[in-house]
Parts: sequence; structure tokens; C-alpha cells
Amino acid sequence: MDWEVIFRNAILAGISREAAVYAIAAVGLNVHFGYTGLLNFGQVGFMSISAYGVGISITQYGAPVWLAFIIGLLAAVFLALLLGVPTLRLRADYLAIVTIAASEIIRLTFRSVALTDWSGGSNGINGFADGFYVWNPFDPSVAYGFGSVKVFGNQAYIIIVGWTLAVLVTLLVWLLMRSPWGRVLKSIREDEDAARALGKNAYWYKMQSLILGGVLGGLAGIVLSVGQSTVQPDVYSPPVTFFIWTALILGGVGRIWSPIFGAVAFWMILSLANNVLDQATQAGIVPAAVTAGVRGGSIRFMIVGLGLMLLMAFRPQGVFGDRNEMMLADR
Amino acid sequence: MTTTDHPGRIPTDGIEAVPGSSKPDPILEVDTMVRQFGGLRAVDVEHLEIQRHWITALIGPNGAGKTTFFNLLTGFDTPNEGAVEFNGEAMPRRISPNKLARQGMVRTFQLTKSLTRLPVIENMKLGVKEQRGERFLPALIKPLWNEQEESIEERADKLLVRFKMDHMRDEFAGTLSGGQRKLLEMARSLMTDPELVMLDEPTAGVNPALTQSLLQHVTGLRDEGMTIIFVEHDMDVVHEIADWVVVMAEGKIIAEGTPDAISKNEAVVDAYLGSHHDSDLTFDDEGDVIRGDEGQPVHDEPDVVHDDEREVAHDDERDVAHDHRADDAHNEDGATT
Ligand SMILES: Nc1ncnc2c1ncn2[C@@H]1O[C@H](COP(=O)(O)OP(=O)(O)OP(=O)(O)O)[C@@H](O)[C@H]1O
Ligand SMILES: [Mg+2]
Repeated sequence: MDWEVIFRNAILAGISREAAVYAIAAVGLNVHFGYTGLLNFGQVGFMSISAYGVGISITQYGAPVWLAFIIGLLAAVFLALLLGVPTLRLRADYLAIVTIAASEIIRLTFRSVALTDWSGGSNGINGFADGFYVWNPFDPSVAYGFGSVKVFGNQAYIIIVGWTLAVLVTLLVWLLMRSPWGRVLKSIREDEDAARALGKNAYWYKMQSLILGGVLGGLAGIVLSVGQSTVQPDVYSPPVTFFIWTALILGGVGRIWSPIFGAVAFWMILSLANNVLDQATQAGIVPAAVTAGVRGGSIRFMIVGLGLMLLMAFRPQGVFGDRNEMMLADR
Repeated sequence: MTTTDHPGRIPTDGIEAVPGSSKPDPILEVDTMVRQFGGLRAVDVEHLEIQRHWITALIGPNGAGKTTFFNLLTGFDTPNEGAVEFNGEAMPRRISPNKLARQGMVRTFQLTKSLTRLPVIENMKLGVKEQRGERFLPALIKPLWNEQEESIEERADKLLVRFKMDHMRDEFAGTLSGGQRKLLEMARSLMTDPELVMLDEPTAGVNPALTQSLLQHVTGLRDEGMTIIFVEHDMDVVHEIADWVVVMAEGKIIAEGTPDAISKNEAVVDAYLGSHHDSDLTFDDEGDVIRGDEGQPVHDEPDVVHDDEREVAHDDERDVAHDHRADDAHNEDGATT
């Protein structure tokens, strides 16, 4: 077994643009669930609507990149309002149902044949990201990095942008959550009626939270689509939402740094499972029949799932969480 | 009792002791308020005025509609019909609780609502209205709200000392005992600078010593000029602090008057016996004792029979606690949908 390859790939996965994207989206989900108690099972919907917002406004309307980014984020605001207005006055479960449905509706709409001319159908939209790579300070044909951990210029660029954004939004959320504004969100998470009895407009605060977290989801979607230079509808399918949840829970719900940690850990674990399995097969430790074809892919997720189950059993609060605090909720 | 009365607190003489009687300076006026749950008229109040600067006790058997009435008054539930005037201003039939709270009406809940995973001090600080740092953009810039936050914290700390909760300051509210949570909820509600404080069974589940200090706090609030309405099952407590008693049964106001007058009121005794025919009654019995004492608050001599009755009363209260849980589950549905 080649452990160098295994670890190199794990590190590359941990710092990858996907990890950065998941981190940003998980920061948004943390605002929703970790701080406000909102159940959003459609974070990928915010990602896709913003990604398409960027793609469509560039390819269809020739918008400059910066404007396209703003339009993309505004699309996420719009989606938050659309989902929030009817559901935020109701119990928490309604938002959960509506968000998961909405994320699928968005995907199916963008990939529909009727809208092919506009949103590209199942092929999605390609070649709209050039305007973004104009600012790339790296040479696309050169590999950058340390030791054997190297990525090409365009990758380096998007990775740096992605992680810078991940850290910035984490700091933004930190600033907010230490303020009285954050205190109101947390009080709503604990007991909405108590907050209302003290004069807080719980509905409006939940709306602000939904918008903020949604916009962060949208930002993640934009980074992903620009990084891939394409928006494809099926990239934005429900499992993404659940991977983001996984990353958040791994790190610990309601903690500032857990989205970043969780996203890195999630991608590293996935890569480790994959590569160890690969290497073990090559070395003849695992029979090739077990990991052949799609089976290998499924098995790595089974390993990750098992790991998560163990985590939940032994450390349900996640890595950063406080078990005592978490258990309080059940009293 | 207290010696530093608020000047606005008028004596109860000359106020008619009939349901819906008019008061010289009502802070709250309710007209034909009805709340129907299917076939059940949980609240059916023709007219009620709450006198400013008084402590008004709202009593009545389990299921009388007291909590529902509180929910209606505080905007947590919407009446089928009815009008409320608060401070002489007509309130819309459908109004959000937060609006009412900002106008100076604050409530506590029968089932305490502590913000479990927030420290006690943060629970307290949340109570203050109109904080600069509660708006999104200013929240980002600490210098804009830091000064206010510090003064809020100072005030919260003082209140915690007053409520003897300062040693729990930095603990999560979820670690408090049931009685401590009641105290915290009351202290927290005071952070809103209320004019009208509505307490739903503030002493339920609180030990006698703590109850005493809680009652002192309540009378203290009145002396500071607040108006208090509280739901209570223990007639000792009612006698001790209430200026005025309003009795509800089956959704209706069936009597009003001073605590002494109410304990002698036939209709009230009937209402209680009607729903508790098989058990001895705290209320009736305590009433008798008080009558024997010529209206002195009951700090009574040891008395075997009386102690016995206390046991009964206690059991009774435990049953009550069970009912509440079921009721409140209902209420919550009603309030959020
Ligand atoms: N949401 C609801 N749906 C249906 N019925 C309800 C609802 N809320 C209250 N009720 C009914 O209304 C009546 C009054 O209930 P309420 O909780 O107001 O009584 P209460 O006077 O506060 O009693 P307690 O002293 O036990 O607290 C009860 O019969 C209760 O079952
Ligand atoms: Mg009640």
C-alpha cells in the first residue's frame, strides 16, 4: 500500500475547492440550524439558484462578472423570502418540508427541456466563468504547492478564493453571533414564544437568518460553479444538502469553526476511505470483486456512514460541541 | 406588608365587588371576549377592568380558562371576538405578542420558558427592549452597542442579586431547578421595563421559602408602580398579596372582590366544589381559617387538622401539575398555527 499517495490525496481533498464550498454552505446552515433552530433541508437549492443566477446573467444577458455575482446572491435572497414568508410563522417542520421540495423543484426546473434555451437543460451552462479567471494571478499551466501536494494555477486560484471566503464568512458570523442580534437568534432557537413574550419579532429575525444563511449557501454555489466553469443541474441534487449537514454535525452544531473543520474532515475521510480501499485492492488485501465498478464508490460511503454512526454514538455533540450543553436541551 | 406604597395605588373600598365592575383607572379593559375550541367556550368574558397599580389575582378551578385568557390578552392566541383596551388604547383583535410586549405588557408562562442553552445572564439581557445591537448592521460593529450592552449587563446583575440568583449568573439556564427557572423568568420579564406584568402561576412548584421571597418581589413591583395580574391556586398567597381577586369558572368571570369578600362568596365556593366534588378543598378550608383569624394573613399556629388538610391540598396540586402539561401542549398548538 502506498501511504504517501493515500495521504497526499487526503490533503488535496481536505483543501479542495469542494471542501471550501461545503464549508461556506455549512456556515450558512449553521446560521439556520445551529443558531436559529431553522430546519433547512434544501441548502443545495440556494447553491443552485445562485449558480444559475450567475451563469444565466452572463450567458443570456452578457452581464459583467461582478454584476452576475450580485444577481446570483440576490437570487438566494429571493428564494429565502419565497420560502420564508409562508412557513416561518408555522412550526419548524414546515420549513424543512418546503426547503427540500424547493431544492428539487429548482433543479428540475433548470434542467427541464422547455427551458433548454435559457438554462441549458440537463447539460447546464458552460463557459461563463472566463471573466473570473481574468483575475487569476497564477499561471494555469504551472503546478503550485508543497512537496508532492500540488495543484495547477486555476485550481490554486479558486482554492485560495474559496478558503478566503470561507474564513471571511466565518468571521462575519462570529461578529454577528457575539452581538445582541445573535442573542435574539439563539433565544428563538431555544424558545420562540419566550422571545416573543419579551418583545422580539421572532418572525422577522427568522427571516433575516434564513436570508443570511441562504446567501451563504448561494455564495458556495457560485464558488462551485465558477470553479467547475459550469453549472450542471444534477450537481445540485439533494445528497449535497445532506453532505453539508454531515460536515456541520461532524464539527459540532452551533460552533463557529465547526463548518470549516467539518468540511475538511468530511472530504478527507471520504478520500481516505476511497484510497485505502483502492490501495488495499491493488495490494490484494481486499478481493477485487468487492470493490469493482460502482461498488467501490458505494463502499466508501458505507465506511463514511459507519464512521458517522460511531461518532454519533460516542461524540454526538460533534468535535467542537459541548456534550453537557447539548444534553440540556432534553431536560 | 409594605410601607412604601406607590401613590397611585388606590384603596379597594368603594369598588363594587361584582363581575365586570368598573374601576377608576383601569390599565386593561376587556369587552365580550370569546375563545371557542370546537364546542368548548374556553373563555367567555363579558367585561373586565384591571385597576392600575393593583395586584389582581386571577383564580379558578383547573380548566377554567385562565391560561387561555392570558394567551388572548398577550397576543399568543386570537379571540373569536372581543376587544382589549390597554392604557386606554384599543388593541387590534389580532396582534402579535411582541408588539404588546413592546407596549409594556409582559407575561410569564405556566410551563416555564427558560432559554436552556443560554447562560442566565444572557437570558436576562435578552429582556431589554430596543437594543441597538439587535439590528443586523449595527450588530457587526461592537462599538455601536457595547456601551448599552454594559449598562444592560449592570442592570441584569443587580436584578439577579435581588432575586438571589447571582451565583448562577454564568450557568446555562437549563441547569436551573424548576423554582429557579420561575425566578429567572420573572426577573427576565422585568428587564423589559413593563407596566403590566402577567404571571401564570408564579409560585407553582416553588418551595415555601422561595415563594415568600417571590411574593415580596411581586409586592415590590407594585410599589414601584407596576400593575400585576397573577394566576394562583393557593389562597394563602392570594390573601397575602392580592388587592383584588377575579374568579373564573368555565370561561366566565363569576366573581370579583377583595380576597376577604371572595372567600365568603357562595358562587365561588360552588364553582370550586363543582369541579372537585370528591376532594377536600384548600380554598374552602383555608377560607374558614382566615375567617376565624379575622382576616389576618395565615401564619397560623400548628394545628393537627390543618396540617392534614395541607397534605390533601398538596396532593391536589400535584394532579394539577399533570393537567397543565396536557393543557399547555394544546395551547402551544393554538398559539403557533
Ligand atoms: N388549544 C386548545 N385546544 C383545545 N382546547 C383547549 C386549548 N387550550 C385550552 N383548551 C381548553 O380550554 C379550557 C381552559 O384551559 P386553560 O388552560 O385556560 O385552563 P386554566 O384555567 O389555565 O387551568 P389550570 O388552572 O389547570 O392551568 C380547558 O378545558 C382546556 O382543555
Ligand atoms: Mg393555566
